[in-house]
Amino acid sequence: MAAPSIPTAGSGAATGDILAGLKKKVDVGGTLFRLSLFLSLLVSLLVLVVLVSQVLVDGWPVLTTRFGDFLTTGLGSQPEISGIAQGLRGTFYLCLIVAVVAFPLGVGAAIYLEEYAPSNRLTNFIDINIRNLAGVPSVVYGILGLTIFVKGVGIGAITGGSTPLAAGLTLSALVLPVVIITTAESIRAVPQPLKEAGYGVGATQWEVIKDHVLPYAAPGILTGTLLSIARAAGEAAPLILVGTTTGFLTNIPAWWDVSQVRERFTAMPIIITTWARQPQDGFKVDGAAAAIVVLILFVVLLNSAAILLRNRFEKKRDA
Amino acid sequence: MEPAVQPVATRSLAGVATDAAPESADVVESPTVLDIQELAVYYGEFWAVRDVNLAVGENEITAIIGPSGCGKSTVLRALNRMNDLIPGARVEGRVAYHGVDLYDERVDPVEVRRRIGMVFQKPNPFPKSIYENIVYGPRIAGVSKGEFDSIVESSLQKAALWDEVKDRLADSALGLSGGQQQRLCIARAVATNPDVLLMDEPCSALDPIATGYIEDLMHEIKTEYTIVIVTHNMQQAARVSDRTAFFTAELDSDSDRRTGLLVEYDRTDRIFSNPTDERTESYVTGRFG
Amino acid sequence: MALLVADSVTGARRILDEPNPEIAAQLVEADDAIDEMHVSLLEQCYTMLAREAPVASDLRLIVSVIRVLHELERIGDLALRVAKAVDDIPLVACHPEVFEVLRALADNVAGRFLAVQRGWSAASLEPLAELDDIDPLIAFADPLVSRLMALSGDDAVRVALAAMGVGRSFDRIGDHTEIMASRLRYLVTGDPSYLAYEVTW
Repeated sequence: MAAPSIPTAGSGAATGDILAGLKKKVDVGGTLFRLSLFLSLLVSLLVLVVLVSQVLVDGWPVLTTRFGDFLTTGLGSQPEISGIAQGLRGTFYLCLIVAVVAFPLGVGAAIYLEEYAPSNRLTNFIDINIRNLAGVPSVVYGILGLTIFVKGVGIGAITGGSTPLAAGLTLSALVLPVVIITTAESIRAVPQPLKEAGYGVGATQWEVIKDHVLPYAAPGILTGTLLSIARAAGEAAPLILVGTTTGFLTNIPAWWDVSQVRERFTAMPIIITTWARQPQDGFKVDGAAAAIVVLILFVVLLNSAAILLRNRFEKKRDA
Repeated sequence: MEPAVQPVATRSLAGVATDAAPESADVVESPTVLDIQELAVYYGEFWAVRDVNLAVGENEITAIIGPSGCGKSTVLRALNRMNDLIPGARVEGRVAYHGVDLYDERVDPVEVRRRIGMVFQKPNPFPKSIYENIVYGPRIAGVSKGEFDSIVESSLQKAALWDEVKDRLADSALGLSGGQQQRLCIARAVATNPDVLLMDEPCSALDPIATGYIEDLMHEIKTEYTIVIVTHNMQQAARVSDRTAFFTAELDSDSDRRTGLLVEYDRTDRIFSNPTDERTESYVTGRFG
Repeated sequence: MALLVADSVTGARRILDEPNPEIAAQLVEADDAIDEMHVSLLEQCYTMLAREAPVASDLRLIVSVIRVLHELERIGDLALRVAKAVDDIPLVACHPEVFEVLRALADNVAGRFLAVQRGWSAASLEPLAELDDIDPLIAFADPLVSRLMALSGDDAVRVALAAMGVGRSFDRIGDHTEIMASRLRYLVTGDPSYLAYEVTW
């Protein structure tokens, strides 16, 4: 297309030329590009929709007829009398342990790396390795957990073997690199002028971190941590290797009974994988699907909490 | 802060060298608050500024002018040890504050910054309330809570902001306009009751009216503080300051980088009517820059 | 503008030798041109002050030029006054002892003016070095007055008046020229004491 020349203003004919030059033209390339992007979005959504609708359809009978029972009954030999009560407790305590262990350790490590560690080869080396660790398959963490937290000398006695404590520690190790990385990124994103302002009125390094950096980075840190917990909730491989029970468990402990962290246990992902391999359709199709729905709900809840908290903090920060 | 170090002999601000002009009103010498001697600053390998010798007088406004990259901000930040925050920054020479070398290893930079406050180029209030912004400094300095209200009011009065915000001290500081935010930053800086105020191009992000407010402000608070201001705006330096220091950057023979240095330091009326060095003359008349 | 005024000054000097009404008429016209230039140059100076906010040597230049424009304009007027006395000059010329003082004064003043004008053109103090240190009072005013007092005859008064008028005009041209010289010294050296010339001389 020839470059449009700008005609001199004046006559009516010239105005027509200007109009012609300015008129919208068809942008084929741009439209195609936009279309292909939209299609990508559509396909991704489609996959999600298919997955969710599949489990909803499969789990519909259980979810609609005996949802209350489903949540309160323990594992049983027949699908009609089996529920996910123990799985819920297991997953709950796993998440709790991950929160209590990975959050402080991860945030602390990130603060040290970003604010205190001198900028040298060793620090870079550590940084790279943390990123590598974040990419290690979860099954490897499972083996690690088995070796150290379940069977390890001394530690095995503390955790009590294949318990939520051991599994929780394993999952903490799994998500720790991610927590460190997201926290470090959030801290890095704190604008330098804000820190300078703090130093400028005579704050020590610790005061600047405590009063300015962390509050500013809080939304990012919280989001990262909650997302990590949500991910940990759904991991199956480490749980399998640590020895989460696939069979029956006798009792359903009360929610507040903390001693269950040192007892044999089960968790949602294990229930799902176990039931999916049973011969009965009641387990394989209905039960597993219903359990998946519950797990998805749980994860969605956590993610929504993460987003809500982040928004609230960001509003406070950016006024 | 006890001056455990022997006070460095400071130089007074007697008639700085010019031609043989008879001095008319320039008789009173101000005591020196900051005596900068043979200051040089390095960022790692890079020699940012060298050979700075400058005496800042009490209750005067001293302006630092010069083209970009000649080390003006570096020198300013050296005066309250803000360069310490930059990894690899190194300082040689001395900066004597009331006779005490600020870079002596016994000196705590946090205490330095309470006495030598700073206002930055882009307003950077804390993302907290106006009240919180101002009391933060005093609070971490251990000032008792009972005094907070009066500190807030007096600081905002000094920054000519009190009337505009007195009814909304709990509002977020980020809701203020740019000029108001900068005045808030000034109020925040004076809240710790400093001796010296360092201002790094405080008006460059502001419109002319806001700039005017702040310049008026500087004239008013000059009686209580000693002010050092770095500015790109020569007319501002001419309007506002008592003394002006002109810096330039010269190519270092070894590296290919330019090192900043002080060219001339004199009373402002002399710098702008009859400077001694022709580099100063070229810069202020706009023939170079 | 200085050149125009220089012409007027030398023209005034010439009139002493050649009291020709035509030269006088030329000088009258020239003065109009001088006045116009005065106004237009002043306007340019003010515009420059408003738009450029000059400092240092630029500022000294504008400030000095504004003052010097005024001086030049006055010098032009004074030269004109000499021209307007053209009719009386032949009369004075009949008294050589008086006339020679006048001519010496005019020579001196014209020479000074041209030297200062050259100094301004070159923005240099070198031409000023040629200036002598003659005190005009002693060298010219006193002898003139004493010789005029010694006059006698019918036209003595008229001669005296004309001679004093012309002498006074040249003398004042000399004063204004001195002010121009001191402003040039201020411009070149930047020493503000030269601004106080009128007070300290």
